[in-house]
This record gives sequence, C-alpha cells and structure tokens, in this order.
Amino acid sequence: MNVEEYEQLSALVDDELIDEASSAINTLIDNDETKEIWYRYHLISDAMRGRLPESIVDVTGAVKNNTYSLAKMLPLKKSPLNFVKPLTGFAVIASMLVIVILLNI
Amino acid sequence: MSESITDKELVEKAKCGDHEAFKLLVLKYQQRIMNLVVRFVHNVSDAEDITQEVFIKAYRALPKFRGDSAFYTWIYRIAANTAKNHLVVKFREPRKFAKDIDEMEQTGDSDTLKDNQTPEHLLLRDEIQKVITEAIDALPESLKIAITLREIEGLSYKDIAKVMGCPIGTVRSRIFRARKDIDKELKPLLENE
Repeated sequence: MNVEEYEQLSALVDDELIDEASSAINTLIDNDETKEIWYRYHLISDAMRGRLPESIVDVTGAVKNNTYSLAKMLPLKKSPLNFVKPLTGFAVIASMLVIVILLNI
Repeated sequence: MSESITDKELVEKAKCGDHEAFKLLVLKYQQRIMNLVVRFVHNVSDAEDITQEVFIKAYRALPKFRGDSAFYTWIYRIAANTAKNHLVVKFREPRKFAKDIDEMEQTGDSDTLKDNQTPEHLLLRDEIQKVITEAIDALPESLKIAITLREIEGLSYKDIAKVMGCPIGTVRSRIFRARKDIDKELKPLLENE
C-alpha cells in the first residue's frame, strides 16, 4: 500500500471518504495488515475519547468462528438456486399428475 | 447519532455474507461495547463473554436490520439488553451462582473472581492510555491541533480546515500523520501482549 492509500484509510476511520470509500473498503477487506491498522486507529480514537474499557478485549476470533458456523445455518446470501427447489417440486408433482391422467385415459 | 457511510457499506457487505466486512465492524466497536457492558455487569470476565454474545446476536439479526437507525445505535441496544438479561438471570438464580463460586473456590478455578478488575487488566488499559498521551504530546503543534480537534472536539475535516485556516486536504494529511506517529508507539505495546 502507498502513502495515499494509508491516508485514505485514516480518512475512512473518520468517515470522511465519500467518493473513494468503496475502493478503500475493498482494500481494507482484502488486506490483514490494514485491518490491524484500522483496529489500532480506532483504539487511539477510543483512548482519546475516554472510551477504553477496564480490559482491552479482542473478540474477533471467537465472533469469526461463530459467524462462520452461523453462516452455514443461516445463509445470508440469497442464492438464485433457492428459487429452483420449490419449482422443481411443483414440476415433479405436475408431471406425475399428467402421467396419472394419461394412464386413466 | 448520524449513520456512518462506512458502517452502512460494511453492513451491506456483511448482509451478503462477507465475514471480513463484519470483522471490521467488530474491530471498530468491540472496545466501546465492552466499555458499555462492563458498566452494567461490573465483572470483566462476564463482560467479555457478553461482548462476544452481542456481536454474534448482531450477526444473526443482521438480515432484519433495515438501517432505520445507525448500526452503532442498533448494536448498542442489543448490548444493553443482553447485559440486562444477564443480570436478570444472575439475580434469579442466586443459588446457582453461590454454588458456582463454591466450586471455583474448591477447584481453584476462580477466573471469574480473579478477572474482576485485576491489576493486569488495568495495566494494559493504563499503558495504552499513557503511550497515546505521550505520543500526542510529542507531535508537532499542527498535527496535535488537527488530531485533537478531530478526536476530542469531534469536528469534521471541513470545520477543522476553517479553524486552522488551511485546505481540507491538508487537514486529512495532518490527521493521518498524527495517527501514524501515535501508532508507531502503540504497535510495539500491543505486539508484546
């Protein structure tokens, strides 16, 4: 990352990045080093504003593990295939009905 | 509290199943949520568990979050309710808690008791606070003013530019340079933990 991108990250912490926000967020998501900087910049902010708790926590690991298992149970992303399943069910029932009708004839 | 554009975008990505986007929200808000929860439950160990639970509940409820309020307001509400429920359960089952404490004393597994405001916990918090204060004091005046107006006074870049009589781009650069200098001192402290 170059200096300009680090400066963008700092502006993103302040929510002062409008046009470049999406690309800066994508960089942030793809890069572990910038995530650490993101964390420390917010820690600096919390310290300066007197918002540090008695114990500095890092629940990211535990939350991440849980969100992974939750994601398996609750698929957040709507897959287009979800629409196919009920349609397939109807199609099977409809074709069985047609066969029954034809056999009766 | 006005909605952060960054939060909005991270929430949208997280709703689409992007775990890393949700992780960024956790990294951003975990200290603030912990700070709130510990004031409710007065126990560091319980507060850590509850903070974890808050983010998991938030993730689970994310599809229902319509964005009518700011993400922070929403998660703050989840945190307050989770902490209150914890206290209700705790006081509803005093016998169970008395038994837990007896067991912990007998087995020597007294993490809950030990973790309640131990000097170690306070030490890191105080160390972080000290390192940051000293780093700010050592900053050149223009950087110190810019970061103070931003973090303590909560001014926007536009307002800081007016106060300091310089372009917004200069404000952005000064705040970044201030953070970079403070971070240089903070990073080794966290790596030693």
